Amino acid sequence: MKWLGSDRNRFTELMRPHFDALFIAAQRMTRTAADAEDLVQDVCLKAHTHIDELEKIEFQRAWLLKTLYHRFIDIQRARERSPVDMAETGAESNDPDFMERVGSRPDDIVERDKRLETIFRAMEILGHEASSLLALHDIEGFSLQELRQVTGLPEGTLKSRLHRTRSRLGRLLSNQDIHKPVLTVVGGKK
Amino acid sequence: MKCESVVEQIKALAEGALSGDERTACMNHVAVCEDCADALRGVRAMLVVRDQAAVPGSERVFNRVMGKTSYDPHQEASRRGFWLGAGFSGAIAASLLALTIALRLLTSPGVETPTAAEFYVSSSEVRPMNIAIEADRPLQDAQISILLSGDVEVDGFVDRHELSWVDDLEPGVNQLTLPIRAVGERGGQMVVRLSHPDSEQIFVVQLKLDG
Repeated sequence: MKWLGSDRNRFTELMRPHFDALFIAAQRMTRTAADAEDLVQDVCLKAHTHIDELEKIEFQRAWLLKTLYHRFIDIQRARERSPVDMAETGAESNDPDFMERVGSRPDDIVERDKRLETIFRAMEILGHEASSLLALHDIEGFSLQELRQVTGLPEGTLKSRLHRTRSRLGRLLSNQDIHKPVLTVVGGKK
Repeated sequence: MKCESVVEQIKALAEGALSGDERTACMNHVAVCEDCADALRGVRAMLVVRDQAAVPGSERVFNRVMGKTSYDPHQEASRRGFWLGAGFSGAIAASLLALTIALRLLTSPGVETPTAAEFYVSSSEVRPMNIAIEADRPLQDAQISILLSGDVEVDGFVDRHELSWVDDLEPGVNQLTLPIRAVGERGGQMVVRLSHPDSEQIFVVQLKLDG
């Protein structure tokens, strides 16, 4: 490990206030503690490469959560076209400690995962910007005023974009085609 | 009731937080307005995601993630903090984030046949590529070389097509994380060579442009 001591402290201090929010958001998306940790780690890697820039940002949590959503959608896309079946990696959460804490039963998990997979597939179709904006507002609870400060967009524009994105999401979810794979992967080529 | 009013209240409607009259007015509108009905379906979907059971990250998780996040963009040494350290657990789990390649440095002398993999790069973001190098014993002075061709680069090393350094490998899994970026439309290729007096391993990664 080749940390510069002061740099590590600086990064740790920067990330600590946001870590729980990131980890919780990651669990909502990945549904497993192991995948959530990997996802958060990926965001931390990116944050670390932008540490100077990030320290100057007023809304660090929004930047980190937005990065988390982008990264998650990228991973989902990559997994769909990967020839490797990630389900066999052992990364699905069998962590009894985690399962006990979240209190889910296996049947519930299967149904929940199907539903969530469909939603995330639809969010991917919506695109990074639109889905991140919606997630920050509807999932992470950012107010319109906070979103205005993050994006620089007027509240009226934000309202109409959020409504438009919700409508598109609802339409996608009512379309049975969303349940079919977007890509059929053969030999790892798109 | 008009769409504008429903837009204001739609999240509260989905959460069941509206009073009886407000709820009835909204639902009457939704029943005849396809756009608002779709929006209500969309909000409810986001609430499904929001309401997933989740627990805060423990101090142990925080320390583990911080421990793995060691890439230092300011370090000027050739190695640039790419290592995440040996003995890191869950090398396979980390593959969900990026490609994980297992190179096993053999005890017996010889050169392994090159193996290959694919990794998708993007010009809009830096993507970390994880490489897990498994050593079955401590190996001092192992040489790691990265050869790049095509429209790709290791972030922070503009126009550098070869990176090489010598390092000690610890027993178990040593993780190397390379931040990769596309700088054109052709994609590229990366050859990872790990050599030691005992043996040599070569891994070829086809770097394909995402999208």
